[in-house]
Amino acid sequence: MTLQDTIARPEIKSIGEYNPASRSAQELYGDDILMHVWWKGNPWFVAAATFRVSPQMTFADFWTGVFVPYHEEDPDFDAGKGWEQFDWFLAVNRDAVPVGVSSETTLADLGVTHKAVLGFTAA
Amino acid sequence: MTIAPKAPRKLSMKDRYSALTRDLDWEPSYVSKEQIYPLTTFEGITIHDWSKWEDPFRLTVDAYTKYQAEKDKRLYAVLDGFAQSQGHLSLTDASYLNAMKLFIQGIAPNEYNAHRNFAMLARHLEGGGPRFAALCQCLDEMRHAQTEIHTLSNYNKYYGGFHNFSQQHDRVWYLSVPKSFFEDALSAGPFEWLIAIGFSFEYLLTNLLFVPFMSGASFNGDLPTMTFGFSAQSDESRHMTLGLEAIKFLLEQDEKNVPIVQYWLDKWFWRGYRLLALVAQMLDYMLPREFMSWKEAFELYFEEQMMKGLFEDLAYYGIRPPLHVDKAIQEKEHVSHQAYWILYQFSHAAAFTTSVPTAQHMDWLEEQYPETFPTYRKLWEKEQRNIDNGGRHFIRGLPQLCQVCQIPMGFTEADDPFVQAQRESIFEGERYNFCSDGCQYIFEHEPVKFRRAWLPVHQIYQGNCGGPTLPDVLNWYGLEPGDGGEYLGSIDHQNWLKWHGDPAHVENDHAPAAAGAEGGQ
Ligand SMILES: [Fe+2]
Ligand SMILES: [Fe+2]
Ligand SMILES: [Zn+2]
Repeated sequence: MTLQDTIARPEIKSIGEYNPASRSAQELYGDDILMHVWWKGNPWFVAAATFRVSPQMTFADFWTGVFVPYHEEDPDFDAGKGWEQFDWFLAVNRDAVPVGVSSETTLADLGVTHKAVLGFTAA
Repeated sequence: MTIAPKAPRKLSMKDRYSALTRDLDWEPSYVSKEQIYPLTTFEGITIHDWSKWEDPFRLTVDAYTKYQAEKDKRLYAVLDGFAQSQGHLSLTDASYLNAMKLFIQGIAPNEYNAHRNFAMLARHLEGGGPRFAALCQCLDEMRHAQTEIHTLSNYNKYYGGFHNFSQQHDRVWYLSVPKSFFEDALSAGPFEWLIAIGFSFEYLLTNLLFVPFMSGASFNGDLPTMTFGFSAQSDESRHMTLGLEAIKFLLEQDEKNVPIVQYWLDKWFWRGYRLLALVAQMLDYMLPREFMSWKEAFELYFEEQMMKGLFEDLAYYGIRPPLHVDKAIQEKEHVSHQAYWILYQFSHAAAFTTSVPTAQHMDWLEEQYPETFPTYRKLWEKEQRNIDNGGRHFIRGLPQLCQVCQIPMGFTEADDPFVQAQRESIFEGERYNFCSDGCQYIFEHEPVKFRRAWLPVHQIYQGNCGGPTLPDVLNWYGLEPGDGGEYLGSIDHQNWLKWHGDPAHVENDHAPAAAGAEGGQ
């Protein structure tokens, strides 16, 4: 899936050819991607967390295998209340694009592409 | 009648200086200027007359070396005396040295980098005056690197976190912040360097960087670091003058230079300011005996001295204050708390230790930050409940990093100051994340340079940092037990109690700190 550029290539001032590749490109992770998971408005987590995941992972697997082990670290988080306790969205700058999660939807279905930010807040 | 031989004519200091600089500068006859000076055109800066560069410090080599040798003699006498009298035992507390660990890991290697680039300028600038000024600064910066390392090496005999600063500078996640800052400048052209380091770093932000460290040292019994600070001070006043002369020279030479310089100012103010987040947290959290809050320092050394004094003068050349300066002003109430919270949560992977601030220290913070600290205090109280339940917290996992400043993305929105900011841009099909408008702005002007950034988290996930597990990475960082983790109960802390005959000391040197270092996973 190709993302739509938000910026144009500026003029480059250099003493020679200067066009290094990204050191974080998706290809460097095989079939995986990096994703950022962000508990918006909960400062207990100093920043969003970055995970290397397969975009084919279902949301249920993501919840039990990735999400809960990490966020359990907040003593006020109750995994038993399930993912319904949160509103889920993709963060794009200051916009929040809501996503509907369910056990069988994959991360790719949710629109989680390389280095996308999957956000959530208390519903 | 004999005529007495004439005594050799003695040149005045001024004449010797001009012989050294102007007389060693000549018009080439069989090669072109462009061949000799290939680096002074590609950035788009136009210089019409290099002789217009004013050099207020008319130093010669003999005067320079004589003066520096005297300063070194004084410094090394203090270092010897301090070492012989076990001066380290009269520090306020072993935890004070966390500030100095950060200094030797983050700053000393960049003094060395500064020396490299000023050596390049001493070769490549076209005017005799600026070349010699760059040569002096090159020697200064080399001396700073050496004297800082010598000054702090005494602590390495007794405390963790000092033994491997150079390798750590190249590898450890939080040190990628100062490293990438300087390497961004090193890989720029000579004029951008002059604005980046000569002006923005050495003039605009220098007091915010050095005064906190040096005054922190004097308030906490660290005589060697204080003496190093004094020894560097006279160099710094020369560096500040060079930086100021550099920006005025570029602006006076051609109007077309103004927008180029303005972008560099916008960029390097923000880059430098973000780097200072490390200093802000040091000032507010790492000094057992406080002397000034980050907010006070920022108001005095930046808002008063720079916004009021300097930028009023620069307006004459058509220069406005840097973009995003408002965000920095708004953040003065927050940035130290956010930065220390990050370091606290990740110090199991660091070469310094952290701890929950004492109740007394939190009261001080609350006096300094009556509007904002009560909210941060709630986080510490939550963490204190964790500790009471037997679990000091280290985050299990890796944080999202800003593509430009490389700091974990814990900074917040100006208009929503307890909600973290998220920014992104998509360039040639790939998404990049930023902590702030300032970092996004820089990326959007130089996406090709910044997509090349070596982000520690992304590199760990590619398997480039020693292996897939946390112990693999810590080993690759060159960390040893006692370097990082929680301060209370650490090797440094235990030794400190033992050396001071404190009954709280327990004969259990390695266990607590090792537990800290492994606490992450
Ligand atoms: Fe220096
Ligand atoms: Fe300097
Ligand atoms: Zn940033």
